[in-house]
Amino acid sequence: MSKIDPVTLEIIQNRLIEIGREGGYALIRTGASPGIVHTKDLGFNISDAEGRSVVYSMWMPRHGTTLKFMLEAVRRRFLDSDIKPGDMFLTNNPHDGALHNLDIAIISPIHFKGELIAWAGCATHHLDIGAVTPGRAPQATDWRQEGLIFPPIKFVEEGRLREDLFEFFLTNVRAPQYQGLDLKGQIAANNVGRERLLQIVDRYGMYTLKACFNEMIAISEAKTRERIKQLRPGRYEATQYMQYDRMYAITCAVIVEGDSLTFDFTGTDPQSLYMVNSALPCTIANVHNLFICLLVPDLTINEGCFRPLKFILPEKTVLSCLPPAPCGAASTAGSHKAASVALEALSRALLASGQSWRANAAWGMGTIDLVFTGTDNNGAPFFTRAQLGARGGGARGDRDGADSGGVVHSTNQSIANIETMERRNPILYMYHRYRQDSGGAGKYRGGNSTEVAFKLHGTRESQAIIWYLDRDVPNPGLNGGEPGATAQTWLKRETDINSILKTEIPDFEKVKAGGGPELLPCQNPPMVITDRDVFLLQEPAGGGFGDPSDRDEMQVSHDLEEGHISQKKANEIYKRIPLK
Amino acid sequence: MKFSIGIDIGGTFTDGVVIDEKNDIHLFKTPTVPQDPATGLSNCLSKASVYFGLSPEVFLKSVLKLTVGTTIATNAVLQGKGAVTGLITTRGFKDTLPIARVGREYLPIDIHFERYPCLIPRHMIEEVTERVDRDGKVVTPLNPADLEKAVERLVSQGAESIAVCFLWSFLNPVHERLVGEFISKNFPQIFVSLSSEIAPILGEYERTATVVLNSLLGPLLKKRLGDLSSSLNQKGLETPLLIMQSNGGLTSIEDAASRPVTLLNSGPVGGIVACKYLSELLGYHNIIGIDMGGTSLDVSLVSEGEYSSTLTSRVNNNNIYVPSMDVHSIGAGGGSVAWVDMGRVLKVGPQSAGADPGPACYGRGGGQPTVTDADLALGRLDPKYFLGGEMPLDMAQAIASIKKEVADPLSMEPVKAAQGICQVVDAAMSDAVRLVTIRKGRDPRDYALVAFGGAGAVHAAAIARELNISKVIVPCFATAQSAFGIVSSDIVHTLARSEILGLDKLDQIQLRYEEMEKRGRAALLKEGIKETSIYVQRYAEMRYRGQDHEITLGLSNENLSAKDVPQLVKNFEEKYQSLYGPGTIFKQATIEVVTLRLNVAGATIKPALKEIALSSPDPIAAFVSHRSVFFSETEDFQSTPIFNADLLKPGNVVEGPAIVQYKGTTAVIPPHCQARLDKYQNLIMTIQF
Repeated sequence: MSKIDPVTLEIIQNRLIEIGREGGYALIRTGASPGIVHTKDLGFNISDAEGRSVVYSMWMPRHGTTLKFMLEAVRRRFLDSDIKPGDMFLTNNPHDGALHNLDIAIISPIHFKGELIAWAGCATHHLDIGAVTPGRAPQATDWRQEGLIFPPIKFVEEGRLREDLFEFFLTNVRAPQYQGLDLKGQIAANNVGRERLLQIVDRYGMYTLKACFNEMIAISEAKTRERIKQLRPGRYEATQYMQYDRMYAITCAVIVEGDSLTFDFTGTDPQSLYMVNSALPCTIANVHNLFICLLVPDLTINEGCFRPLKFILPEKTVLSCLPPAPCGAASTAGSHKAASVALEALSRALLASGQSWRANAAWGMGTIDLVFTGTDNNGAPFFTRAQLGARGGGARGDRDGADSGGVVHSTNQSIANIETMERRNPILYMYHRYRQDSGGAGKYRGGNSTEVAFKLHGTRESQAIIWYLDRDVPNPGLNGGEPGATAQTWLKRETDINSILKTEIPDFEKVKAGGGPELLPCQNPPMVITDRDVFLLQEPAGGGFGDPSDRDEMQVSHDLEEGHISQKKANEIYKRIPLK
Repeated sequence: MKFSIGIDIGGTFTDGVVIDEKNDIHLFKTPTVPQDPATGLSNCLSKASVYFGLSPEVFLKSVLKLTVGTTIATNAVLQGKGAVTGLITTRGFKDTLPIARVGREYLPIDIHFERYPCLIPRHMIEEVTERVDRDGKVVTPLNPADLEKAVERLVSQGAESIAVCFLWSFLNPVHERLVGEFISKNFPQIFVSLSSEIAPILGEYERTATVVLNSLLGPLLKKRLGDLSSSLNQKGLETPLLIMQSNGGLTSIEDAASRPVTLLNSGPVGGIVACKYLSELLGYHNIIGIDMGGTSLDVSLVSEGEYSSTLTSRVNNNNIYVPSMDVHSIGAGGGSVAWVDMGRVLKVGPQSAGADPGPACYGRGGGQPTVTDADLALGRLDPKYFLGGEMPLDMAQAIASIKKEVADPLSMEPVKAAQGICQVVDAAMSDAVRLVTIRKGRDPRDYALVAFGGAGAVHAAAIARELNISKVIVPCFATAQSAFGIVSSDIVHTLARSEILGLDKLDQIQLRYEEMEKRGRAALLKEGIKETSIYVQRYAEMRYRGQDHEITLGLSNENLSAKDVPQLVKNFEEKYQSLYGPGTIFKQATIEVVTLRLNVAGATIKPALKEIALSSPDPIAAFVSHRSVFFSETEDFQSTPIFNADLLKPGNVVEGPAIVQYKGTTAVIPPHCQARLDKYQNLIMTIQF
């Protein structure tokens, strides 16, 4: 195949990237769940006819890899002759590629004059998938307790939605009003993607488009290999722990050989009895995601960026579970930790290669998930994910970590307004603010996380499913930096909050409880809470980089003036008494 | 003689359009005086009065309508020149503004990113005990002692301006008003703005950002706008000075001074208003405006005779609630730099050579090839007639830079490389146009392309061809289009109310509209508009219950009642399906109205372009010379006739290939295309595909 001219290549490449953006926007604008609209927990890919991703999700990037796996599953399941123009396929099987079964993918073949020329795919996180409890199933010990599993099925047949399957879906999930819009939003995304891709074919022809796909992938691969070659060859190791019902060791060795990289997770603990496991595709997706954000964020991301990467993962570890092990929390448990430990190992490689500016201390890790369900005082049912805070970013080798930076590799993330949350849900938030001193001290400070206090308001009681991770696992610093604060979930029951609120908005510490304040364990049975109970959720914060005593005095003073650190921390950790 | 005047105070130039009683249009250009916009404005008016042979006083007394658009607000924000500003907010939520909803969607995927700095330092944010809930009910009353302490702390830190934003204040503003009254009474020198007055919309982060920006701008704008109006009044102006807002309408100085945030984004707005004017005058219901300058391209739309507008804009890395005309900007301008990536891909931008050193051909030491260099190398620009000859261009430097930076690395001929640069930038601009058309479900083939700004007319034909647009219009006022748009605007007040109502509440919706209309009419009457000159347009932001994004539907001003529901549902679903394709309508979800919006406008005197009798088609009187110009259509240079725009007569027809040179721009007419000067002296190009 002859080389495509550089001008046409650039034009088509830009257009493809724009299609990637537009597909996501279609879902965001039509979807309903806050996870889609605000957190942007979605992916949208364009792949060529052979299934190579050409436009890799620029939304939450990891979905780009899972969509590739799920497209492979669709192509395995259906004969070429069964794949017709206007069809759309649906799957959520974690062993076929979904991060967990709450993530549903809609995958559409794109035909031009009857010939299959490309694929569009859209994946997103649904609020509920009919598990034994609302949202996830923190106590489940078998993946069938975690809700519906769809192997690839045909959901739209030649442009006609299978209304029977749609009804089946709405009947089995707990937030059908939101999720119906979300699922239709995924159809909208693929509609938009298909229409726009066909416009390119119309204008430039099939032959040129295919040549572009090849060239784009080749360029991204060459550039990625070049970037890897700048690392010093060797083996760089890291181990971190994930806490749920117990501690799990997660180990990663990054092996740099010439222009390729291997992630070896040998030594990681065996699979868990509970949902914190991750199936292999989910683990790979998260490491892919972390890798591009850390090493090649400036490239056009596609299949080519991942060709230089190899994975070694023994079977049945907490990062490579097999059925019937549950994995409903995979997306934010095992696989998040896999990304975190890969970040540490890669950062060690960067430090050894004279690229310390690119190295990161650990970002805040420790997902907090609260799902409230019930009926409010007006008789309206609610399905609420009440957490709202933001984690702190890890310090970098040349600058502080980002305050309220979010999840390290969840680019595109944002959080909802308090007013949006309160309007949808019977909750009154008492505060959402920076968690002072939470970022690890260092020459460069870890980013502070935020903390949120709230209570039910407008309903007397609610069912609550509560779980979180890493309560006692600080987020490690790098190069002498101190660790960032851990995630903590506090609950005070039967308090005097309703009478206090008549005159003031108290700190959590000031609220008097029937029992004492309770620092919840990570794993909890379902419970019922009332409008006299008060929650405090403290998000995890980033680790520091370098020795705190090397921190610039001006920066310590500034942090103190702006309230990012306390006077105590300034004195004790930074060994300074800044001028006041 | 009586005059209507539009002035556009830009960053570099102050453009004036003066329209006399005979509807003759006169354009004036003077340098902007950044520290003292009033002086730049008077210079422009003096230049005009000299032209008409009148003393400045007599000239000003003869003015019926004086309108100004200004980038003062925008520049103050960009340059961080705001007042020392404090913020008072609900206890527990001082970090709403610093956290800014995390907002990583505005950052690259690079985890090495830096958060955008907060609009004001965290220590200038004070919390006050108070709380209102989602029903607008007071949960915790405002604590007066708390308030007093908070204000005193801010004042002691030097606050000149205070913004107030409490949770749910758009539903119940009682606490914000108490704060406003307290500050006005005890610290009358401080500029106060309340979120419930500036942006009464759901979403505390955006509301806070809006009211804080308003406060940052308040003191400066109050002074600058006061200077403008008092200097003009002293010199004899008898009519009230009117200011252009980002919603495309004019307002009084007093109103603008209290809500200066509505003057942000007002830069390109005049240009869009002028597009709408052309749309009505020439009968093109659909117009795409492209304003291509040195560093950016602004794309805007007029569809079915209406502007496209937006409720949220991004200013200084914050999302704010200011109704503004929808303008999509990309970093593609004459100064965009061309470069080669990986030895294989030709890229243009996003870096710009700016005005200094500028493109290589400016000869100021800028060695990087730009779009202007490529245009020059291809013969499209006259090196001796750039800015009407005020700035000679260096062809040799243009070609040398293209050869070194682009052609040699790609083993191409320099001419091919120049052609490539233009193709890449034309494609990027076409993509920008696609974004505002196709992405919104509109087909660019249904539109005419209006080209203005310095480089718009150079590239318009190529963009039109790329998008199958058959008409390109270079307006007679292309080089001062914003000023023309400003003077042809009406006074417009946008009122909005955020309240979620189902379609079963149409009578309630009707009441809300009536209430807003009453307020809008009262404001206009105060501004001297006659009842009979007032017109109203209603809009509703609607969505499926559960969604967080809306689509906007225009509503009729008739009394709404239950019988209108089926039609409303139909309109909503049609628009929805056109945007998102088949299978996306979800009837079970039911439709709700989220924000009611109303434009109340007062018609003012409007200029009209003068009709001139048509001459013969032969343009020979305007012919200047031949020049060798490269056209992609023939892949070669060819001898091309050059015409002077000032000498063309209505009715003249110029056959492509040809170049029409204006003092501030150049129109490229490709082979097989044809351009005709219409009776208003607009150049109308017909594109052949």
